[in-house]
Amino acid sequence: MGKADQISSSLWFGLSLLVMYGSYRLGLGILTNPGPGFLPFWCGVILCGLSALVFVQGRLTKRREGGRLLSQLWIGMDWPKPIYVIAALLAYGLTLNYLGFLVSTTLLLIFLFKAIEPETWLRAIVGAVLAVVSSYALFGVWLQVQLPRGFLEKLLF
Amino acid sequence: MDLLGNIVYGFSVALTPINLLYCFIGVFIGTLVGVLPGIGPMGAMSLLLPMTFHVSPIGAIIMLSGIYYGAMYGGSTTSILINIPGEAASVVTCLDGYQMALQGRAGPALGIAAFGSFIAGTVSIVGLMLVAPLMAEAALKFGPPEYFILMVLGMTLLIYLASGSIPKALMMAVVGIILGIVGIDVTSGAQRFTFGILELNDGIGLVPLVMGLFGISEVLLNVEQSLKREIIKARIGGLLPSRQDWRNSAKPIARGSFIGFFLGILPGGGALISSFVSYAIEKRFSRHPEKFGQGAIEGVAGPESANNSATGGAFIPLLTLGIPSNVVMALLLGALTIYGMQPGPLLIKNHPDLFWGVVTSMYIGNAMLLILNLPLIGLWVQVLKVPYRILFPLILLFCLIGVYSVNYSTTDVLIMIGSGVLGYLMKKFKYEAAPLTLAYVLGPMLEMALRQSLTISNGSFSIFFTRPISAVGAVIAILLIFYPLLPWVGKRSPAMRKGE
Repeated sequence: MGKADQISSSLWFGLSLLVMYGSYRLGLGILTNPGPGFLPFWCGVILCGLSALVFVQGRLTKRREGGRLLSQLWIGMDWPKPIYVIAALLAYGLTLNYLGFLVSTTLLLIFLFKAIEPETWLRAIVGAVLAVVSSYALFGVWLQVQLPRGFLEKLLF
Repeated sequence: MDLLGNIVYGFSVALTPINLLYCFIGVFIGTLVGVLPGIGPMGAMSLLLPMTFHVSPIGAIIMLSGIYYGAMYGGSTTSILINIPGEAASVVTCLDGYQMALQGRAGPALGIAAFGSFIAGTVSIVGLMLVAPLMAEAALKFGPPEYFILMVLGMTLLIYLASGSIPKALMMAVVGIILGIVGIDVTSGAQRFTFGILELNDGIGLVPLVMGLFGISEVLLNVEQSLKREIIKARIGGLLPSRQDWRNSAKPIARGSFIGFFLGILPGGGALISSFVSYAIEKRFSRHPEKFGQGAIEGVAGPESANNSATGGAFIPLLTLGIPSNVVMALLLGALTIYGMQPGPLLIKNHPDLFWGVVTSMYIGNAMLLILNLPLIGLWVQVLKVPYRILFPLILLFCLIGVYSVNYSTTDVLIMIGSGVLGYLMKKFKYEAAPLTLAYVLGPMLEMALRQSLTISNGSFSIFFTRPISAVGAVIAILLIFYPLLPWVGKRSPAMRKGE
């Protein structure tokens, strides 16, 4: 984990500096009356120290093990698949209000059924529609969860 | 009201048709997620949490608790039949359970796991009934310094027992505290780390955070690798253990029940550690330790009893002190807070229906689980055959609907996706999500207790060392934090060494 630890601890180190800066601006207060930035500031300090420690440990491990590459974390894995899923979920989250639950979820499920371990188009579409309709009936109709209707609201409701 | 009266009252709450239904749904889903590798009790509970907002708090806690102990039952099925633990606490059951299955003794292995779990579950519920009221009585004397130190101690123990690097686990606890205090500060009214996003004024939601960290991240990890499942082909018959099996298992079940209960109470302990400890003890007590790993029934009976008993023990610090001892209890604490109930010493007094109703429902749930796991074993074997490519889009669908339904907010959906990516990367880079989640839940309470303690003491930290309970806790916490940080022992934690 040498190289990987160095990279991850650098990111946490950067975050700790941001937290310390933000907390300082919020106001640390005094010990008898700690301000809103008091606890996060000291959390930032501890995070800073620990990330430095993990960085040093990572450097020592890297020397001992001859330096493993970061890519080794994904060796033997089908690494594009999680990226597809994340991209699809992000697109879903950003378009949910505009496309509405029915359309966006059907598109998402068709993509997931097709992209990860490909099903036939017919199976993917039928599976997605069935899942969306039954979940809409369960949550939207029975449990009365107000799922977003999107552009269909103007057309159908 | 005496103990017997309380138990009768508890049954009168738990046996109402609606609470029986919630109990059944909980244990059914618990068994299901225990059986299905790739989604643990934490993922399932976070998934169902938004749905519970539509039901009564008692029904909701009965159902969520049912998922927790139900998963312990279900987890053993996959460990025995396919050598893949359905959830973490069943890891050790693979060692002998799968070997028994290979020798054609899958039935007795599943049977003793279910009976052992039932007996241990019963022991832990009785323990919970006896210990919790006494603990609550004692906790009434606790002030902010004691609470602060107990919370620190709880987090420290969880970190100390973490399965990977201790400095990394400590880092995650600190990140959890930071995430927990995002939002408007209740004391000063200042907006902390909200970046002008209106939805963050109330803080980062528990549901999107845990769903992302435990649900979405698990899916992301599973889609990049294909889970190999080779189910034992032979017919599973003869689920009732023989007389010899019972003779061999009686003492392991008894020991496992007590070990599990007491380790479950300890912050950071819980089901995983108790199953490992039980296995180690059974191996040491056995006249034939060489048979362990070759299909010894004691290696199934002990750990399965221990992990079930630990679930009952884990409720004690939550219900009496308001301090969760593990990440599942942290989720339950979050749920209770959302329902407007404050777990702590006064919970039993103020909400006896909740406490006694939930506790007695566990007994009923254990009986339901015995029926679900023995006569219906064939059903769970069929569930195991559902391919993951069908399962994961449905898990994602439930996550998305669940998180959206809490506040009808797409920001929550995006927070969940962000937490999912964070959780995925954390698993890749060997950072644990459990300390982060526990610290996130405890963060606001911890800050409040710290502020109150400093105000009481006029800004002096000596208050944590001059009061006996907090002093003992503080010394233990300091020892636990600094001992592993020494470079020559800090690389791996005891749990990991034990796991090896």
